Amino acid sequence: MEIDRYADLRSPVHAWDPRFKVAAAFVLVLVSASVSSTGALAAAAGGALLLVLLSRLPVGFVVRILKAPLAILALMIPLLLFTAGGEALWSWGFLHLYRRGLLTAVQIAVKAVTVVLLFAGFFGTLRVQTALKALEDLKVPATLLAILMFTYRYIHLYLEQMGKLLTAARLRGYRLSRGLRHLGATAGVVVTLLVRSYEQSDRVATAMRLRGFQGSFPSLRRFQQNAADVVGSILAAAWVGLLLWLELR
Amino acid sequence: MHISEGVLDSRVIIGGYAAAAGLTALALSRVRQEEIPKIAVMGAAFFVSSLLHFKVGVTSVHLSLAGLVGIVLGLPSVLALLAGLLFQAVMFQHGGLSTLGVNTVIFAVPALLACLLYSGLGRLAGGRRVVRSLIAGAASALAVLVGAAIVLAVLRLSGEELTGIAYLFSLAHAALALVEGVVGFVVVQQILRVKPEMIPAGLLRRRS
Repeated sequence: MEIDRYADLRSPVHAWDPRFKVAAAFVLVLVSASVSSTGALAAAAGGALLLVLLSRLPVGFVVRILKAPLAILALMIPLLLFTAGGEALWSWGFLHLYRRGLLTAVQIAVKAVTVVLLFAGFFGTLRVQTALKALEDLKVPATLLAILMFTYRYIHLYLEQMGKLLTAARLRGYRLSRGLRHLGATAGVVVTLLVRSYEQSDRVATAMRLRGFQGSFPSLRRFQQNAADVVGSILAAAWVGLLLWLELR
Repeated sequence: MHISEGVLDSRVIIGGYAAAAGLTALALSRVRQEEIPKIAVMGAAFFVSSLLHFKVGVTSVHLSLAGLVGIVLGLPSVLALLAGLLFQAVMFQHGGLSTLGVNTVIFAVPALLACLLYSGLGRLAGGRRVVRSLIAGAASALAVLVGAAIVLAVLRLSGEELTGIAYLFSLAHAALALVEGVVGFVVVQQILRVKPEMIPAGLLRRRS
């Protein structure tokens, strides 16, 4: 599942300068995940929905992004309803449906959907590499950034390798779903992955040194903000201000 | 072991980010440039291994490998785990952006503990491979339990009504601890056989 599959569409959110967008994303995600008053939660959810609508991302894509968090909620909410304690709304034998559980469940669900919508709106509208480049301009330490860039690249490589290793193991009769009985074989896959990656990292380090790596990657991309970017950022700041005001009122 | 979006309250989110930032800064101050690829590949391997789900009883668990990453990398494991967790959130919405700080703490603290345990006891074990593997297995299992304990603590801090869920979650991780212990033992035993320089005992003094 590629988060940046629709990064090349055209919309006001796509056009926003990546540096402002990434900064706004972090602040808004943190503030939206932190609020707890009803007014602020509703405003955060509305804002996130507006952002996704503005971004013109396909509905199917946004729904697919929501799927994993919703699956976790579906698992957690029934548990929460019956274990929260406090005043019971409804009882059946030893089962009690708690009022506090219901309120918390609604709050968690709204917050989770809000934050994931924000995430889709902000990070679905720019390439991952562009976002990392923007982090460089936002003064994230170069070493950390280099680690992030390399990790992103190797994840794709190892997903492929892991697929091959598992295919090879399956051909010998291995089944991941067998769980504990095939644990030794699973460990074997992990060993191969770790040792190979470790050896590869040695070669990469040498190659980097030979090419005169100075701690950061040169890039031809330069960001240039215009009036619209500044307006967008003022709107984002106003949005954060509104949420904080509703929360602290 | 990840905490997903929407569950934590503001103090825990901010505290988690503060603690993760501290750990990250500490790790960054010790990293040399030629270690970057090694940290990144371990981060990627951590990310990929977490996709190995399998059934234990009625529930399904996936490997966390935090302990192993700690044993192989030492202090820089914080950076590998942070990178792996960030991309798990970005690519699979596993975990989340608001919970990235807390999740980093949940994985990094156990990783560092496993590393301390392995390098401390491993030196005593000397060259005996089986003993060192057993220590690594125990350290991996302990890492899962410590991670689960941190999850329990942050869920409790976020709201009393989450207590029930927190305990159920910890229970599920007792099973995972067992699995990770076995995987840690087998993996370290085989690494010691084919590539012993990858995990020397006395890792903390490895900076040469």
